[in-house]
Amino acid sequence: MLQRLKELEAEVRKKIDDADSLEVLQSIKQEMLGRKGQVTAILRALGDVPSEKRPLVGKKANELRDLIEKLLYEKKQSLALKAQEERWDRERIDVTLPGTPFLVGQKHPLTLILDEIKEIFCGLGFQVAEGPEIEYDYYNFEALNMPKDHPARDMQDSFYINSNVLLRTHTSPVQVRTMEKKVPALPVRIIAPGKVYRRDDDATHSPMFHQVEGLAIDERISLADLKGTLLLFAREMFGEEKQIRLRPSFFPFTEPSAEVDVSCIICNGKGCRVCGQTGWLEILGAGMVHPRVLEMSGYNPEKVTGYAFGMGVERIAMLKYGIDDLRLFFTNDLRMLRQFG
Amino acid sequence: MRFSVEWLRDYIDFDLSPEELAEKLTLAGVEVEGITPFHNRLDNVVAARVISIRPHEHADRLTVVEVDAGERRYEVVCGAQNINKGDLVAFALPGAHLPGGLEIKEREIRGVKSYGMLCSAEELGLEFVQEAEGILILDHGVEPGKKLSDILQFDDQIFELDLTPNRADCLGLLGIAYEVAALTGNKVRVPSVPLKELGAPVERLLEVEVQNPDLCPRYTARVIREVNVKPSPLWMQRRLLAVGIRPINNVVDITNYIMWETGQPLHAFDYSLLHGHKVIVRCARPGETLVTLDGVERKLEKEMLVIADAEKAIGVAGVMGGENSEISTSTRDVVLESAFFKGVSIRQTAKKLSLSSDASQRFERGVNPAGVLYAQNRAASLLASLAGGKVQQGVIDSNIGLPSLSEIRLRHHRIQELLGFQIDAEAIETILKRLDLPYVKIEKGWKVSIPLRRNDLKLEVDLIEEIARLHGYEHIPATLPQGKLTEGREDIKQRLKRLVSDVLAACGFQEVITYSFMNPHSLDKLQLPHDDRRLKAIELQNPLSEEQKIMRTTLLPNILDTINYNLSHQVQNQLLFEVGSIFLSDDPTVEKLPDEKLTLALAATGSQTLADNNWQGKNKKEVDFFFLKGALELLFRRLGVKKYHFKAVDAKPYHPTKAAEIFVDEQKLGLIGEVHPVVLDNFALKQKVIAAELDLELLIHKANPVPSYEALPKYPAVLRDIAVVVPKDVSSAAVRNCLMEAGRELIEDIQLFDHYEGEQIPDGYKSLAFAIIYRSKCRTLTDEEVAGIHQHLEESVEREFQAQIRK
Repeated sequence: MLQRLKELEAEVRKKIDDADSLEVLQSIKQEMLGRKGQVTAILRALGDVPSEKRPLVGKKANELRDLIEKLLYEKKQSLALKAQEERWDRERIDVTLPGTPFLVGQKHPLTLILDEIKEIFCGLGFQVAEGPEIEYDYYNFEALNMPKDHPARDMQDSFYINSNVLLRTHTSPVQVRTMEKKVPALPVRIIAPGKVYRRDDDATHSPMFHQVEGLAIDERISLADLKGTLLLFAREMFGEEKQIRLRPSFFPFTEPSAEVDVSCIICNGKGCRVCGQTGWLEILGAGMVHPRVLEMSGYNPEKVTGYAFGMGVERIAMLKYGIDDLRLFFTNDLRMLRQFG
Repeated sequence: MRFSVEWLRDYIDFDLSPEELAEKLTLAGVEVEGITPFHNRLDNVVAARVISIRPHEHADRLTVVEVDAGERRYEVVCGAQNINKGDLVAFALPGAHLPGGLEIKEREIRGVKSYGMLCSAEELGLEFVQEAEGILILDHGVEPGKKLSDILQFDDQIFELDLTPNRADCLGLLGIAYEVAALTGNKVRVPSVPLKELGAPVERLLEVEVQNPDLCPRYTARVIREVNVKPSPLWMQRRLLAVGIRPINNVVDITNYIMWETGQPLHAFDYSLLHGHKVIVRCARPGETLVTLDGVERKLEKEMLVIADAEKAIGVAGVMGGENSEISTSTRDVVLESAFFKGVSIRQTAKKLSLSSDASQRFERGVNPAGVLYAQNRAASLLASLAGGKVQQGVIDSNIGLPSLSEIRLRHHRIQELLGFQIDAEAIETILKRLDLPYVKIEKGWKVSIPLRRNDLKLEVDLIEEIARLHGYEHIPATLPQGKLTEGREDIKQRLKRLVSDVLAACGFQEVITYSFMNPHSLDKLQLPHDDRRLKAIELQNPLSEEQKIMRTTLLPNILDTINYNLSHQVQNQLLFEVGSIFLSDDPTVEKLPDEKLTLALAATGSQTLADNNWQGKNKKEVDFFFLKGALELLFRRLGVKKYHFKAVDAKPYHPTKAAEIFVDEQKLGLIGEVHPVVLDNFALKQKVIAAELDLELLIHKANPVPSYEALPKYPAVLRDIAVVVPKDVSSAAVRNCLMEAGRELIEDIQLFDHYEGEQIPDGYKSLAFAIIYRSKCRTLTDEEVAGIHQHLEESVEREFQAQIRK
């Protein structure tokens, strides 16, 4: 009987070893340990074994049963592991395939810049004011200290609808409209973004473009405040390390007036092709609101002062994005616009 | 304004390199746009004196010239006939490279050795005029052997100024000298005018009558006789060339030279050509014409001021002289005009004639009325010294009186308040002195006298700017405004406008910005009905082109053109939107400002996904009405706009049966639809486009984006489907409304999940299938209850639409 158990052990070891599926393992288990299984039969037949040998045979038979169960379990584990590995292999993907293209649009680059400008100035307590694009000559010129036949009108070649109505040439009329509305309230702090129109068309001029006007009126606003405000703006817009430079200039509606340069965003002031070796890029015009403009809008220039500035949005977008032709903004070539999405 | 540094040094000393001078001027507000040298240097070209001239042995037309070039003498073969013994000429030594590319070598010309070349102005690349064509004859007093580059100062630096309109004073070198004086503290040297008058009193020779003293407050004239008209000396020609003026003859050159020096335009007439020896300043007569010096016949208008003799116009005042009184080589006697014309009048005349000259530009910006006579006398004295003229006695000066000198009160505290920093009285006085502005001290400040040359200084702030710019803008500190806090935020409408763009971008739409102008033909292409308001577009008086002649009344044409542009660049799938104003006016004269309506346009073409190629399979579902409607519905949801509906409409430019009007609270919001095939064709579009145009102001007005929370349901829902067959013309919305109506408060929602026409459905009918969600807010519905309502729903639809329920 012991001999039989030994043979059985060898047989079952081989069978389990050779088994290549869970089904085969199952049938081995059935064959050995099932109700009619060979080990089961031996255990059942223990009663026929002489009593002096019975404990030993019983022990050995039980040992064999435990061994078979252990071997089956181990084999099952190894088969499962193998199956899993096969599955992973089957399911392997090429992670370098392109991702699913998402359907998303984007705002126009000029809108993105406008949003950024608004955000910066709103953070400084400015409100956003708007005004009509078709405007009276009065608001566009006269109330800004540019009477008819003023030579400064030549700086801005205008589109006329009739002798009194034109396409606004700058966003400055919104200054006047805002002051008229607010007077005598103080302080006034607004920016006025919008479309403006001039009779020009080349790589650096478009008949329609965008400006943002800024205006601050209060009892004590100074040129130094203007410089501080614009320095802050330039750094928010173009980077912490940027400097600005004010140069005296002339606008009929401000006095003193200044052109404002920012240190070149390409070479950071060292001098390059973009800045014409000067290290500076002109970004906006500004100044202290002319007393006559304050007066015409109802404020007393002896009591209040203010600053104003105006910047070209396209100019800033061109500098920031490295775009060299202003007309591209209005061609709406999707191959260009999608670069911003 | 161009000027030469060498010339400027006549009037002021400065110890600055050209670059330093440019930097100083620019930072003081006189912007230097560029600096260029006058001429390329010429090595090995020197002055030489003609020692002898003898005929060439083998050639009749050639001569052999011996010249003294300082260190030694040379023999050269020469073809020109204009030289004489003793002349100083431009001599190119062997090794010289001339601007035309010619390299000078020793060579034999018809058997005679030539050690160099005598050069003409043209060969040297110079535009000098000379009496006879040929070798360039240099001015007397030049040392033989001296380099031509040094004699004619080729290394002189030419400054190009970009002047702001207020700085008329810098349109003359003396004005620039005053500016340099302010920057350096040095003194200006005003040339003295040694004038020797001869002959008859001028009143006996000439009569001047100013008929419009309002337009010509001052007119001065002199008569200079026996002038020898010939080319100017080279130094003067060189200076004129340096600033961009073509030399003509000494008389004309002197007027230009003095204009450049003083900023005061001058004009010279041929005395013998003045009929009646009379000068009349008057307005042009009806139909009067004049051929100006540029050879163009000008039609004059009655508002234009002219200079005339007893008979005819001889010049357009302050703009350009006439050919009929031009200085020529036969001119002997000259009338010299120096006047002050009002800028506004000159500006209008120049504009109407489309004729801008150096003179008109100066008058437009305003010349110094006090400088009129100085320029007159200075030019007269040069006509005497350089043209041999005899200045007749006296000057005619028709003058309504100089404007009185203004005095401006300048308050110390005001300077500091406006500029925002402390500056002491001494520093301010130093600046005033450097500007050559006389002042007296008064309480709290100064009283400053403004000379007439600075007509831009009118108010205290103008002086404060002078203080600031000469103190240096770079020394202004950077501070931030103090004072009351203000709320810095876009208002609700502005924020909603931004939200609209954000939502549409998130839906895949790309924002575009097109011109506010429109081509009138674009309106025709839309095929709008004749009474449509959009056809009455506002026209520009002076458009850049026909394509940009009118202001847009709809955003569609430009957006359709954009689609077309991108299709032609192989972008097939496009989802676009634009936010912009349209301009509507019922008054064709536009006396009042038009309506500017903020409008939203959307357009879609191609497939619903943007990617043209995708390895994951080509999901190429084409955009259709419902795609765009879906985008709008999402937008409405995000804006909290609830009470809207779409109503079928037949309206161009849309497809007659695939378009809808959109209403919010029964107010018309806009239109959506497939673009009409004929319109597509008109825009040369080869693929289907779906578009919508909405009144964005109304939409924002109706928006209510703060959602109010509804409590989550406590009781379970019961789902039942219903499928009905209804005539094709019954709208799904009508069926849905009928179901909603029938179910009342027990229905939570009804969703259409199938729409079908075709097999198994009779012609002229369609099948609609709805999922109905029943739920009560206060109890759990029983099966029997739901079955009852559901049956009621079925019966209602059957009754209302002769519908058949599909079981």
